[in-house]
Amino acid sequence: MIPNPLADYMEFIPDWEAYISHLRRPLPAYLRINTLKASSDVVFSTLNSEGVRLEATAVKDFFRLGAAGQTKATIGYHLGYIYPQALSSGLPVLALAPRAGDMVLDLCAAPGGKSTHMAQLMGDSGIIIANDRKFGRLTALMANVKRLGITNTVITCYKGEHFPISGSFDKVLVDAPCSGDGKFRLDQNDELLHLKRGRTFLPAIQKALIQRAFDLLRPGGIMVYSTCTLNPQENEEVVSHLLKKRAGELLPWIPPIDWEPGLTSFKGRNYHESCVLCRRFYPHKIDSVGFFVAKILRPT
Amino acid sequence: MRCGLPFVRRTGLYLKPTTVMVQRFGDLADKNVVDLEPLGMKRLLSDGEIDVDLDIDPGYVIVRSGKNIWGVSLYLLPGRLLSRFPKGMRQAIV
Ligand SMILES: C[S@@+](CC[C@H](N)C(=O)[O-])C[C@H]1O[C@@H](n2cnc3c(N)ncnc32)[C@H](O)[C@@H]1O
Repeated sequence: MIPNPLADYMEFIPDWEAYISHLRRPLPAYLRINTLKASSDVVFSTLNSEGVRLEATAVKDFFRLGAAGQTKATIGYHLGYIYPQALSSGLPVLALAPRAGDMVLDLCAAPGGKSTHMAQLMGDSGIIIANDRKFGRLTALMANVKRLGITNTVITCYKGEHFPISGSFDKVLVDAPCSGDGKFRLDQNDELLHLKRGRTFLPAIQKALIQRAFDLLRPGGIMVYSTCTLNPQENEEVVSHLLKKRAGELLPWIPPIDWEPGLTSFKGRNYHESCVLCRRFYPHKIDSVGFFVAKILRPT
Repeated sequence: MRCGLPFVRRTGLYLKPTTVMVQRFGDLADKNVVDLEPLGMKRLLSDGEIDVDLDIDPGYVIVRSGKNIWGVSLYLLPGRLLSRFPKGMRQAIV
């Protein structure tokens, strides 16, 4: 029997059988190449000389590892040429599309996968404020920012829902703390292999974070709300909450890999009709972690 | 609040360029860059020191192997190059 919360998702996940059989296999490993420290040719030849085999993907700068190996023990890792990262983890950043010179806030940034990806897209210009409420997680964030040779990033430690400096950011990313079931795998008895404990009131925290993030945008600014859960209560319900409280507008966005539109109802609860503009990514369709991405404009 | 990368660190009386800085900006240096063959590079990492014959003043140097800038080492007379790479790098690679 498939355990909860996954069993509940039968209501909306396409090709349920394929989803379940995908959950029984390990997820493939991916990485992003960092072009701030060396050209992609140098990065490839360095990794090649270490026997790291990369397969191209539809997400720019993301590659699938030919064989799952310890990428952290490679020269390429220590030279800051790579960041091991799920394929779908690049999508929120592509949706936000930060540009050179932007003033960007990453409200839940540690350990920095998306912040450092944004720095790369911005050519290490403008400013990124990479914030996380957990002081202990800032060490890894700082180490990654330095390892990748990034100079445009400031690190802060606030509760996201209390982050100061309202109304000033061109772009804000909320990669929210979530139940993480987009990463879940099943063992041979169909028991969950990953189980996060002690995570209560997630939707309440997520609603506070999305609302604060919206208020931190300048008029005309854009935010992305993302999670690695498929749970509508942590996704469309959170976005609907914002749209009820603030005059935000969901924006359409065409992802480079297979996606499904957001939901407008789940278990008898209705969500804002524009939630179809959210993007859902299912593990068996993309061969990576399940994700949710919503792109929202603060109108002028 | 501060942006940027740490550029140098004080080590006793001297200033040592940081690994992260030279890895990012070392390609702009036009002196005090030491090129090592892959074997020399590996020995420097594993043994922590190698013999070299360089026509430069003693002090901190940028170490490059092929097109990769690895970090910083200390050149001492007569002809010793001492690794100043981060510990994690040595542990992971050797
Ligand atoms: C999904 S992880 C972020 C991953 C990160 N964006 C990346 O790509 O590497 C969520 C993060 O939110 C942080 N967090 C949890 N509650 C928070 C809050 N109230 N304010 C800010 N950050 C919070 C957690 O410490 C965790 O690092």
